[in-house]
Amino acid sequence: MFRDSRQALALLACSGILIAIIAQLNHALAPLALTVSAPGLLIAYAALRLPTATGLAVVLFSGLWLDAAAMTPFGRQAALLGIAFGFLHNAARRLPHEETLVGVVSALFVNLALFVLLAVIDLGALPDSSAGAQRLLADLILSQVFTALAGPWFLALQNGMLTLAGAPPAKRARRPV
Amino acid sequence: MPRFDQARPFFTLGIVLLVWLILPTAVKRVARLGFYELQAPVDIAASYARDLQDFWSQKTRSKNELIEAARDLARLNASYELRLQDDTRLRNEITRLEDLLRLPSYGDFRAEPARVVRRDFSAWWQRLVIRKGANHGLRVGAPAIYSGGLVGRVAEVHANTAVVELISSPGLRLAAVFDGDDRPVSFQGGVNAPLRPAEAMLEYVPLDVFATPASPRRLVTSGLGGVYPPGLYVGEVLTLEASTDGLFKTGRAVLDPRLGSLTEVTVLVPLDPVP
Repeated sequence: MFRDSRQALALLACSGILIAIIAQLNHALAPLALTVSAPGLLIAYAALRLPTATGLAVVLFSGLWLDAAAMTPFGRQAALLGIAFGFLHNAARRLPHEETLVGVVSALFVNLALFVLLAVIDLGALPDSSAGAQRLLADLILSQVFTALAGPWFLALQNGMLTLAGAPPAKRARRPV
Repeated sequence: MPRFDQARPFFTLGIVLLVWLILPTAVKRVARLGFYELQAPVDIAASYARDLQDFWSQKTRSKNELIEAARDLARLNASYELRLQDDTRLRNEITRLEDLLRLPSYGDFRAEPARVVRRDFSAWWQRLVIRKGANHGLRVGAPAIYSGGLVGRVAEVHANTAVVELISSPGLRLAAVFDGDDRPVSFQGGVNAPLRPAEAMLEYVPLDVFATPASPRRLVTSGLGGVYPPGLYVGEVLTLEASTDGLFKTGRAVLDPRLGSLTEVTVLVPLDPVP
């Protein structure tokens, strides 16, 4: 029980750090009309390494943290992250989930899926869809580059934080494909 | 059993979403405020750190540079003194004409300068978080300006921060006029292509108004509706074309690129707000 809470709090602290870094990066990128977002990184470790309840709690709270500073309905990003968590958590047993590369690639796929989903839902709301599509494509490319570069560091940070909290993730057996 | 194992994350998520859906709106609003106020100190601390960084970088300037800056500032102050005298004369003239013609006077504002804590520019919204909020008397709907014209309006007010929605945001519409023309046109932000200054859409432009890249037209606030004071610079119109119904023209306004790198804005707080 306490172990789960420690795991959740340690990973939420990491999510807070990442969200703050991305916010500062976006502040600096604003004159170039570019935005970075990396929801995949908030999900990857929790979905691949943690038990369902703890991982889902971390992901939902991270989503609500993002929602609080966004102009979207409160809870939307949390729900989308939760769904992505479900798919990735199910796939985790078939993957060598302790590998950093698997974590980074999973984060990249989640980023892509969420970008496409949000574009489908909201692109019509923009007054000029073609400029909006250009912007989304540029944001997606930049976000994927950021995720690929920062992913190994962030996964190591989460691992280190859990070790520091005295609650490293339990080893889960891989299911044969 | 393995099948239930696979469905378990979705089952748990389903229960959480169900509980979320039946939660009263007030609880969600409090939760949102709680999450926002939790992260506000992080943003504010980062902005203070940036200010400190600027301060130390300014300290490296030589005395000669400071003397030159002070000389330039003195010249600027002298020209502003002249403008202030002119401004007083024009204000008196407006008051005289309002009394003579019995016109309702424009609302008066108190200027509240605020540092920008964070710029949040996505494809869907363009916002600035500023370092003043309800504790400094800011109100939702108050216009924000900078040296180049209109920035936007205050969309959210929190204890020590406020969120300003920029004129480049798709959610912001206002009535603007061409400089020297008093017919209002509809202005909506939201064309934010990468690596380019933001643009805005114009609708209901009268057919006899022309603008080309060689002779662009300035767009300013109309003052209609009472939210924005009249005459604030909004953008520059480079092209206009007939709309599909042929009754009006549509076009695009290019916004000032400085909107993307603002570090300070001034919020105009109405002195006699409409209750």
